Amino acid sequence: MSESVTRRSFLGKSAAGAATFTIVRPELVRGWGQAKLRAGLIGVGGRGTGAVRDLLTGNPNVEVVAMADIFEDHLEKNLARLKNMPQIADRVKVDPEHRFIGFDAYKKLIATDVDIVMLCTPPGWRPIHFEAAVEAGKHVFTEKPVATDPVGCRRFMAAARKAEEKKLTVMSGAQRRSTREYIETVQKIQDGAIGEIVALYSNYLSGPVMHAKARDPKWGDMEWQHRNWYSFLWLCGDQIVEQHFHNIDFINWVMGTHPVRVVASGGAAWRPREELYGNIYDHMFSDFVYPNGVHYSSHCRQYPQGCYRIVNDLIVGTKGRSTGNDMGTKGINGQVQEHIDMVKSILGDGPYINHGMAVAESTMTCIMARESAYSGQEVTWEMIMNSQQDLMPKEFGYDVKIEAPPLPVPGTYKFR
Amino acid sequence: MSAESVSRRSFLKSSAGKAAAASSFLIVKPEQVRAVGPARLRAGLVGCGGRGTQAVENILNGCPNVELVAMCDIFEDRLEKSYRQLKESPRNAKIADRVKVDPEHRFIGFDGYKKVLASDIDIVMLCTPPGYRPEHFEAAVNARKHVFAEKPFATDPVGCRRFMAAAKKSEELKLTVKSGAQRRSQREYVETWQKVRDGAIGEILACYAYWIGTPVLQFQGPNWPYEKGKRNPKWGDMEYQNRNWYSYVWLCGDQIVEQHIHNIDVCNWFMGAHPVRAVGSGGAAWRPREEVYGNIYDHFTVDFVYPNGVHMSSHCRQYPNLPHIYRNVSELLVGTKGRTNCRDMGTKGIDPYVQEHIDMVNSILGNGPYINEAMAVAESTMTCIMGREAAYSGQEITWDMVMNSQLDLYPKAFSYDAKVEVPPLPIPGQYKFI
Repeated sequence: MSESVTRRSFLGKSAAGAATFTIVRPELVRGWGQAKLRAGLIGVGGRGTGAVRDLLTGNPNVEVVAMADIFEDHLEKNLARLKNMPQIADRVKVDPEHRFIGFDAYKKLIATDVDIVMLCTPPGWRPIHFEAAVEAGKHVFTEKPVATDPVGCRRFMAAARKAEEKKLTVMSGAQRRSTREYIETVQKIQDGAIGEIVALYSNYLSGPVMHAKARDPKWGDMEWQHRNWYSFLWLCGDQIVEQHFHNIDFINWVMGTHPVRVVASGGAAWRPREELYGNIYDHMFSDFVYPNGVHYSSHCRQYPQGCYRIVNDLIVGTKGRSTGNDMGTKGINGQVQEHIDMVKSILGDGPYINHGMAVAESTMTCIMARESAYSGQEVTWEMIMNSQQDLMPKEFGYDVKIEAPPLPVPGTYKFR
Repeated sequence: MSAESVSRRSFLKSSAGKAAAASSFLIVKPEQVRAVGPARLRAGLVGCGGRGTQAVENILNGCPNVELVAMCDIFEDRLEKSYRQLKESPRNAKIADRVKVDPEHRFIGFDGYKKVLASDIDIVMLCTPPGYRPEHFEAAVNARKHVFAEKPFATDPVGCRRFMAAAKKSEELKLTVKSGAQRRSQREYVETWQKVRDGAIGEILACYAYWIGTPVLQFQGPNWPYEKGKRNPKWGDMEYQNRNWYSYVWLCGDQIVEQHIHNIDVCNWFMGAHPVRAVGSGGAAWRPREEVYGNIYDHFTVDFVYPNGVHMSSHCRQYPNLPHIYRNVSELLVGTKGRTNCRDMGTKGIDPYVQEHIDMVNSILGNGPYINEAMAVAESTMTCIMGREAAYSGQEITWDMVMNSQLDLYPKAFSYDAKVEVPPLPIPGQYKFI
C-alpha cells in the first residue's frame, strides 16, 4: 500500500515564508503614515460584508473604497450595514461612483486605485476574478474555495504562480491557517508530538445552506441561480468544495501535501428533486490516500434539523492523537487575524504570505473527491489535474438561459 | 473525540473461550456415534437458493461422513432446481450419492423448517434470506440441532436479540454453531489474526472495511425463468418480495447488513470487540425509484468507534456493473508498527467455504476445537444494523440504543398472498429510529 512520499509546494512554502521578513514592495507607502491602504470588495454578500468588517476591525490603517456586485440591492443593503458598525464606519468610504453593478463590475473595481482586492463572490467566479486581480498587480484576499471545476482551478493556479513572481500577497479565507491554536498545534504535530501520522478523519456534518426560498418569476436563469447560488454546482462546487474545504485544507496543511487518489460515495438522501434544491448532493464520504499510503476519511453532509451535527478533525499518530487545535493557545478570532497577517505581509511588517497555490491544491483535492462520488470511479491527482471539466458559462447576462445539469447519477455521469 | 474506556465484550470472552477450547479436545456429545463409524451425520437444508445449494456442495465435498437427508423452501421450483443441481450436475458427481432427500423429505411452505427440524437430522443449515434467521435459529436450538447459519443473523434489533438469546442457549447446550462468515475459517485470515493478536502490527489504531461492489438483484440471475425485472402478476406481495428478497429491508437488511458484514465482522474479530457508536450517511444514488429496486440504499459510509476510541471507517455500495466503476472488497488495519489487510501474514489454505464445514463437523464430533460463533456474529450483525440505522436516521446511534431498539421488521403473518406494505426509502430527518 505504501507509495513514495513526494514533497509538495505546501511544505516548501510555509517553511520558507515564516523565516524571511522582506519588504516586498518598498515603494508602498500607504498604510504606514497618514495614508491608509485602500481595499475594494468584489461580491457584497454575507461573507464579503463579514470580511470587510474583519479587515477594518483588525487594521486601523485600511479603508474600503470600492464595491462591486451583480445585484444592486445586495450592495446597497450590505454597504448600509457596514456604515452602521460604529468601530469601522468612518473607514467605509464607498462613494456612489465606486459602487459598480454588473457582470463586469469586477473589472471596474480592479481598475480603481485600490491596493487590496477582496474576492468574496460565489466560488465559480474566483478564477476569473483572481486572474484579473493578479494581472493588475493587486494584493488579494480570496475567499475559499478558489474554483468549482478543474479547468477553473488550473486557471487559478497559473495566476497563483504569477502572484508569487510578482511578490503579491495572497491571503485566503482558510482562516485556520491564521488561527493560533491551529498553527501551534500543527507545528507540534510536525515536530513529532503524536509520532508518525497513521490515520486522519474529518467531519463537516451540518445543516443545509439556502440563500433563496423560491424563484421570483421575474428572474432569468442567471439571476435565479446567483440568488440561490449554493444549489448550483457551477457556482458553489457542492458542499465538499464550498464548506468541507476547511477541513480538507487543514489536513493537507498538516500532511504537508495533497492526496494522490480518492474513492468517494454520496448522493441526495433528503434533498427533494425540485428546482430550489438545484443539482448538488446532500452527503459525501471520501476515502483519500496520501502519497505515503495514509488514509484520510472525510465525511460531509447537510442534513435537516434533528440530525447529528459535528464539525471536527482527528489526527491519529503512533504516539497519540490530536483534534488539530488541542495543543495550541487561544488567539484572537482567525477571521480577523488573517487580515492582520495579510496587511503585515503587504507592508513587509511580517512574513510574506501567498496562500494561492496551497489553497488551490486543496480546492482541487475537494473537486477530485466530488468527481469520484459523482462518477463512482477512483479519481487520481493525475486524472483531476488533466480533467477537461469546465462548468463556467460562456456568456453572462441577467436573462441568459442556463440549463442546470441533472443531479449526478453514478454509472451515468461521465467524468471528463 | 476523547478516548473511551475499554470494556471487555463477549468477543474477547468468546475468543478466549475458543483458545481454551482449542487445547482441550472434548467429545461434546459422547452419545453421538454417527459419523465416527459407518453411519453418517445427517444434515437438513432450510432455504434452497443459490447460497444454500452451494453450502450443501461445500459440506458434502469437505465432509465425506455427512449426508443430506431433508430440504425445505417456500418455493417448490427453487427446491427442485436445487435438488436437481445437487443430484445431476456433473460437478457434483462425487457427492450426489450422499444427497438422499426422498420426496417425503422435501418440504414446501413457510413452516417447512419445522418439518426439517423434526426429521432425524444432526445438523441444520439455515440459508434463507436473513430476515427469517432468528425464528429458524431459535427453533433449531430448541430442537437441539447443530447449526450452520448463513450470515447475517437478523435484519432488525428485535430479531437480532432473539438470535442472541438462542445463541446463549446453544452455548449452554454445547451445540456447535458455525456461521457463514467464512473468513473466520480462512487460513490466511486465521493465521494473520493470530499474528496481529501477538503484536505483529503493534497496537491497532485504525480499521477500514470495504465492500464496494455491484448490485445483487435476484431478477437479474441468468437462469431466472421470468421476464427480467418484472413482477409476475400472479404473485402476492409475500411471494414477490421473497423472490426478489435483496430489495427489501425486512428480508435482506440492506447491503451493509447482508454483505458488508463480512468486512465489519473481520474488524470486530481482530479488535476483539464491537463498536460502541456509529455516525453514517447513505442513500440511493443510482437505484431507480421503481418497485423492483425495493426500499434499500445503494451506498453507505459509516464511522464506527470502538470502546478504546479507535475508528472503523466502513464504506459499502452496490454501484452499476460497469468497467470504469471502482470496486474493492477488503479490510485494512493500521497499527503502531505496521499495517495488514488481515490475510497477508497467513498461508493460503483450502477454499474457506469448504473449510468452515470441516471445522464445524470436527467440532460436532469432538475432533477439533468446540466452535460456537453465534454470539460473535450476532454482535457483528447488530453492529451493521447500528450503522444502517445511523445512516437512515441521520442520528448518532450507540450500542445501547440499538440494543434497546424496538425496531421489528418481521411480518406477523406468512402466506404466499399475504399483503406486505413496503415502507418508503428512508429519508434522514424524516425516518424515525425507534
